[in-house]
Amino acid sequence: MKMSLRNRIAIFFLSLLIVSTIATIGSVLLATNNSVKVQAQAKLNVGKKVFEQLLNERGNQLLNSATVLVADFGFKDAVTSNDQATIESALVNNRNRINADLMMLITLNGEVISSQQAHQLDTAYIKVLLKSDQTKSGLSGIFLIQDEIFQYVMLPVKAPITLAWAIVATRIDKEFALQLKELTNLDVIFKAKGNKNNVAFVSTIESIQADIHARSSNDTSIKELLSQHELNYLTLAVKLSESDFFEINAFLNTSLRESFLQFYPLKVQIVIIAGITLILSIISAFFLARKITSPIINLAKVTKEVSSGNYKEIIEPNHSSVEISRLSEHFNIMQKEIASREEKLTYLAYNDSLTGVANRSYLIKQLSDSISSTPNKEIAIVRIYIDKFKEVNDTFGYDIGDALLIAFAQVLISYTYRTHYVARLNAAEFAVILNNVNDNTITEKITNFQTILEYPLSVHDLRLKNHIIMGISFYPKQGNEAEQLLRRSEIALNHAKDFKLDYFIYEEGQDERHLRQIDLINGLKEALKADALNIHYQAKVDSKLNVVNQVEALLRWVHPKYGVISPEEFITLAEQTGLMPSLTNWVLTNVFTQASRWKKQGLGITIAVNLSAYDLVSDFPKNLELLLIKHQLQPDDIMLEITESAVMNNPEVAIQVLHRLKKIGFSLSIDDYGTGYSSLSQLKNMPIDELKIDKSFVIHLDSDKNDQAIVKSTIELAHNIGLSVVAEGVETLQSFSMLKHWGCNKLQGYLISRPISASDFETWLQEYKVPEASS
Amino acid sequence: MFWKQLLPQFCAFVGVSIAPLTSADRYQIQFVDDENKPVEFAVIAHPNAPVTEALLPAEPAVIDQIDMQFSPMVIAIEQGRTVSFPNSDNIRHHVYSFSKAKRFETKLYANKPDAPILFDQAGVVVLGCNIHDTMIGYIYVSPWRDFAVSDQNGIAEIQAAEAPQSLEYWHPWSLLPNQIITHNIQDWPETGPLILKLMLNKPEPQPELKTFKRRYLK
Repeated sequence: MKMSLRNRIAIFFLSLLIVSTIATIGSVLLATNNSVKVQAQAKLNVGKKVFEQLLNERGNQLLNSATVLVADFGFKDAVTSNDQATIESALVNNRNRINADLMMLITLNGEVISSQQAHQLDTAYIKVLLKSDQTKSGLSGIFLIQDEIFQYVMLPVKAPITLAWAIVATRIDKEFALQLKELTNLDVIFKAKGNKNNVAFVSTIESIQADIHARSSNDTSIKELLSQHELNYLTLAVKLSESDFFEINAFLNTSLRESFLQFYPLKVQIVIIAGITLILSIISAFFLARKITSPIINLAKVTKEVSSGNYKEIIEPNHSSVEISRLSEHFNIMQKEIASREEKLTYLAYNDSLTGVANRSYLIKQLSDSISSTPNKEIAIVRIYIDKFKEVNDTFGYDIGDALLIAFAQVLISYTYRTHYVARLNAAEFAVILNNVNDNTITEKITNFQTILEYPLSVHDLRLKNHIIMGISFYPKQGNEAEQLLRRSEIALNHAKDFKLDYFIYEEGQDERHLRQIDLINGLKEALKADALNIHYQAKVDSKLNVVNQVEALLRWVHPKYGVISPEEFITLAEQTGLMPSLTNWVLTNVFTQASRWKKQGLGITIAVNLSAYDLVSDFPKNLELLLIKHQLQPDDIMLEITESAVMNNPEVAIQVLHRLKKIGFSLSIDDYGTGYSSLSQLKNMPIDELKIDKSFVIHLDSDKNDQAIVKSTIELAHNIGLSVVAEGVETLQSFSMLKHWGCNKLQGYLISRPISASDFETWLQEYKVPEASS
Repeated sequence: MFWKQLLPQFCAFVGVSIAPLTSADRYQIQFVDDENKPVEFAVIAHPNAPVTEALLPAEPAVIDQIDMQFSPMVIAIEQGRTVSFPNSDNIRHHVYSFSKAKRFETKLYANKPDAPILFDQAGVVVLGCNIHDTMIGYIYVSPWRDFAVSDQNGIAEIQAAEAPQSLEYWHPWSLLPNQIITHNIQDWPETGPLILKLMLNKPEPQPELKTFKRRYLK
């Protein structure tokens, strides 16, 4: 379970306090208890000494009196009188004289001569007494007669030799016990057990004295007795007499209750003090806990505020504790730093780190805001491209390039200051949002831009003159959304770049074309993945042999949305978007597979494949060789067609590749001959076997005299330099006949066959008959 | 040592043996204790012929009091004879007796009491002084004519016509005090005295019980 810090601190302190309080009270109680017991014990020990002294004192008194008595001549006279009555009366008289309770006369043999007491001592005991008195000078002690305890003195009666023994005794009774109590301040119990089941019991404690059972009991110990009566006493036993005839003990008792009562006010005081301390501690523990935790709670609140982006709340570091003050201080610093860092991040998010102007995101935001706040105003979005900026980087290095961009941005800002927005979109491309400018007022602005932006800039002691290209779009005329407007300005800019214009204003429909191209690129990728392209084959007729022994593989793509897409369009896109290798790979794989299949069928058909400029790279021949091996084909099963422009794109590498292809054994054909450079010098250098005259010369061959002249001379030229010639676009029998007549080696066109699928071609081939040439 | 002590006795025996012609022979008895040491103050009597009036000496017997002691400590007298208790000390004495044979007291006196005391009952009379507990004396009142008290050598001598068949004797320190023992004699010894062994309990001076003291007896 999670507990709040405040409660934890409070509970911790409280438990500490409770434990210490209990310990304190406990130790005080223990100490007082011990003290009570020690005091009681000391009191008992002192009491015991006093008790014994008193007992002896009493015995001495008795002894003195008895000594005087037995020495009295009259007493001797009386007890030797032989007259029992006289003896008895003498004993009574003398007993009274010395205030004794018992007096008896005993012969030397231990027989009782006389005793006024109703009960008498055990004769056996007397004999033991006599025997024990080795000195014959007398004895003293304590004995039990029936249920009474006596302190006695036994002295010889000498006349002058010992004639008899006199025993004089005083009773140890309650009166004596009370005297003892008065002097010792202890409760005294005398208890005697005789061997004839006789018991004597004397107690100063009334409740016990009254307990008949206790008094008559032979076995109950004093401790049990006291506890039976719920008396809290500390007891000290004093043995008074012990013999085979009886056992006599005294018990000195001090009440612990009274002693405890002495400490009662102290205990009450301690408990009260502990209670007050505890209550004060509880209050201060909670107060302290709150004091510690309240700034933390406050900090937590502010933290929550900070997390939601509110940095305004500053914590006052005025707390009493150093730690909390420091924490608050650091917290404020942290808050400030987070705020400044966030500001920086925001700046970075919306600004170009190099030039400090807004970035694309911010521009779009500003434009959106501007449109939504005042939808009625007119805005021109001008994209400005620093032409050939890459050359600056390449020539002078990035430092200069960066410095140029910064300087350029400064110029732009100074021009558009406060009224318009400036942003940098990528390396050398900026955009300006011009408020209240439409297609009528734009020209002036464009001129201004050209003037100020193409003025040479001083950068690191260099003076650099820029050429700028601009693309422009307008709100609301050409779009309602920021992204759209920006894109359209980009399309316009690209158009200007492509057509080497200084600026171009977006035209309606450009965007749609642009979007279609994007769709096509994505579609082409998907089609390649899904094998959704087709290869159609168009037959070529060998004019000499009058047979179809070659086809041209033509890529055919039916887009689900745009329908049939011309190879020119999508191949250009593929070339621009780096899809060419995948596309070539796909085409070659399919063509080689088909060639392999036809070869096995014995059709005797060579397949011509068009290569792009992008195919003419150094590792291309090796790939083709591997494909040949893979499909068990010979180089003459495949023919390669290359446009002249493809070669001219990078003639050195291309020609090298062509040589290698030639070396492998492929036949090479120059496609679309007559539309491009048609450079004979290049043609001379290329290891080609065939010229393919572009269909634009062939389609109207039957009617156009010029075409007839060009085609005829080209065929002658080709033949003269050892090349065979193919004509494509043969659509009429007349054209067919003319070309055949002029010696054109191969003929291709709708007259013979449209491009058809491989299976259709197989069917078509079985039934096809080459037309007869007209004269 | 023993023989040295017996030397005079031996001489006496020689004396006896040279006087056999008299009508009455003298018979000697020697009292010894359990260590065979001679015992003084033993009284012996021959229960043969009772005391007769004619035989009673006219003058009283004497027990003096010298240095707070009865002197001699023991005398033997004929039944019916008087005893005088002169006081030789320069302090007074109070002589008394609680014995059955004679109860008497002479109140404090110096020099000489008024009159001698008559002892007309046979038995042992123990004498004491009421103010000096240490003074103890004994008078053996004999009903018989022939008796004697042993001297320092333990020798007591009686005269008899023929060897006594029984004798009575007594000693103040005997284990059974005040008891007169009758002793039957089978054979007198051919020579020397008849030796009688006494079991005595010589009273030592006893400390008085001065303080009360509890006792534990088993």
